[in-house]
Amino acid sequence: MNRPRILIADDEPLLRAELREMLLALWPEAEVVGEAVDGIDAVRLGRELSPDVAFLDVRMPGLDGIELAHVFGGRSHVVFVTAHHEHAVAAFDEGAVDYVLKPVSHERLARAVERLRARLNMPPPSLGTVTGKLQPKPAQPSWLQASSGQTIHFIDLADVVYFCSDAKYTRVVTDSLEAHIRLSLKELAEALDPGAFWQVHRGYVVALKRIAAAHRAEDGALWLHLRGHGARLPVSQRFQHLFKGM
Amino acid sequence: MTGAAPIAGAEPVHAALARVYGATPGQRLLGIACAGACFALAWALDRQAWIALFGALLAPILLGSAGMTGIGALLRGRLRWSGAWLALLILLALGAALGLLFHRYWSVGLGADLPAAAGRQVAAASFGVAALVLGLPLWRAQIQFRAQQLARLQQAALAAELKTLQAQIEPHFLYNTLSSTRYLTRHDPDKAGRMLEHLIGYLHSALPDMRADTSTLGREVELARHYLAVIALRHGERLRVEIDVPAALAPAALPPLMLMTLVENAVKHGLERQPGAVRIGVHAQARGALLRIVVRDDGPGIGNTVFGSGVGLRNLRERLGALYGDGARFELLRLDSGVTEARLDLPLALAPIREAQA
Repeated sequence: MNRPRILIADDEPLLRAELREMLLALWPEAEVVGEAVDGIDAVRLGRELSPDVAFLDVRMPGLDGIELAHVFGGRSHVVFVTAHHEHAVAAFDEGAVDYVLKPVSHERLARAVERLRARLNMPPPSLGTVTGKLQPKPAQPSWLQASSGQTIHFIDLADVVYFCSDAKYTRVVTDSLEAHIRLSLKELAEALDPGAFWQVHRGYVVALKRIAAAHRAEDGALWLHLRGHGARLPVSQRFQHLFKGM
Repeated sequence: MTGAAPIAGAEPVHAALARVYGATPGQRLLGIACAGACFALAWALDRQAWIALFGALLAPILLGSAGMTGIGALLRGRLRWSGAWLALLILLALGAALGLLFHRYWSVGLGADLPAAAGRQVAAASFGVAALVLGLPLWRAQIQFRAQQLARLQQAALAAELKTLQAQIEPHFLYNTLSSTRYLTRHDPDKAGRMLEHLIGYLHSALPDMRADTSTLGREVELARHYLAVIALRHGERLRVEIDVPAALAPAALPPLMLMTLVENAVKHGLERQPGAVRIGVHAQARGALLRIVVRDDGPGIGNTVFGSGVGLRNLRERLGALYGDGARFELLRLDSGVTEARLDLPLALAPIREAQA
C-alpha cells in the first residue's frame, strides 16, 4: 500500500507543528501532505489533495460543517482534534470517526493512529451525521450592526424601539440613535424573535415591550403609542388581529 | 423551639423582640389610658369582679411584654430564639401567678372568698390569653427570620457562583497554551520560557479575582497584557499589541474581567477570523469624571453579518447596568478605517467600588 497521506488543519501554527511532529514519530510511514490554517483552507486543500487522513480542529475560523462533510465524507478518514470536551461527546459517539482532545497525548494519538491503520483499507465513512453537531447552534441574535453616517454601530436588540422600512433598507430606532441596516424589513423580520418583535404594518416592526397602548382614531385607523418614545406607529388592517379587543 | 445563630445581615433576635414587643411612649400612654378607662368604668359601675378579672388577665401581658423588651435589651446579640421562648414561658407563668394573686386579693377584699378550682381557671385563662397575645407575634417574627435567613443564604450562594464564573479561565486557552509550550520547549526553549512567564503572569492576575469583587485598571491591564502576549506567541507573532494606559489611572476601580471580555472579543473577532497581521490596542484615559477604556482591533470585525448572538457583550452590558445604572456606557463601533472599537465609559473612582451585593 502507498504511504498514507495526511492533512492537518489547525489555526495555530505551534499546534500544527506539534501534531505533525507527534504524528510522524508515531506513524513513520505516513506523510503530511498539507497544513490548513483555517476552515476555508481545509476545505480547499481537502478538495485538492484528497488526503487519506485528515486531522481537523473543530474550532477554526471559517469552518463550515456541511461543506466539511461534503469534502471529506467518503473521501478521507477524519480525526477531529478539539480542546472542547462537549463537542467530542456529542459529535463523535457515532464511531465513524475518531477524535482526540487537546492537549494531545502520545498515548491517545497512538491509539488513534492504530485505529486509522486498521481502517485505511476500508472506504472512509460519510460524515453526514456529525455535520450538524460540529458547531454550536446559532443562538437567537442578540445584537445587530447598523450604520449611521460613516460609523457602524453595534446595537443591542434589547435597545431597539422599532424598525421601519426605508426603501431597500431598514431604519432601526433606539432611544439614543437611528441607523440603517442593509436588509429589507421583510428579511429582518424573519430573523427576529416573534416573542419580542411584532410586525404591525408593512413598514413597521415594533419591540413588543415598548408598546404602551393601541388607540383607535375616529376614522377607524389603529395607532400604537410607545413607552418612553414619542413616535406613533400605524397598525395596518392585516395586523389588527394582534390587538383584538383593544 | 430551636433558634439558629443569626448569620450576618439577618435581623438578630433582640431586634425582633424590640420590634414585636417594644412600644413608643405614645403607644404606652394609650395602653395605660385604655386600661385605666376600663378599670374606671368597672369601678363606676361597681363591678368589682370585673376589675379582679381585668387585673388577672392584664398581669401576664404587661409582665411578658415589659420583660421580653428588657431581656432583649439586656442580652442583645447573645439572645437566641430558644432563649426568647423560654423567657416568654417563664414570664407568662409568673404573670399568671401574679394575676391570680391580684384576683384573689381583690376578691377577698370584696368578701367573696375564691374557691381553689375557680383560681385555677382564672390563672389558666390569663396565661392562655397572654400566650396568644404575646406568643403569636413572636412566632411570626421567627418565621420571618427563617425566611430572611434562607434568602440571605441563597443570595450568598448566588454571589459565590457569580465569582466563580468571573474567575473562570477558559480551559481551552490553558490547554492550547500548554500544548504550544510543550512544542516550544523542544524547538525554541527561549520562547517557551517567555510563554510560561506570561502564562504565570496571567494566572497570577486572574486567580485572585476569585476572592476579590473589585479590581483596578492597573491589574486588569496587566492581565490583558499577559493574555495578549500568550496569544501573540501562539499565533506566530502575527498579533501586534499596543497598550497605552497612563500610570496615574492604574488605581482606578474596575470590575474584574470586564476588560478581559473586550480583549477576548477582539481576539475572537479580530485575530481568529483572518490570517495575516492584526493589531489590538488597549487604551485608557480620564475624561472629566469618566474613565474611558477603549479596545480596538483592525481585524475583519464581525464581518458582513447583520446579526450577532455573542453573550459576552450582553453580559457586560447587564453587569454595567447592575453596577452603575445609567452612569456607565458601552458602545461597539466599526470605524471608517476598518477598525473595530469597543468603548467603555465608567465613573472614574480611584478608590475601589464594591460589586453590587443587593
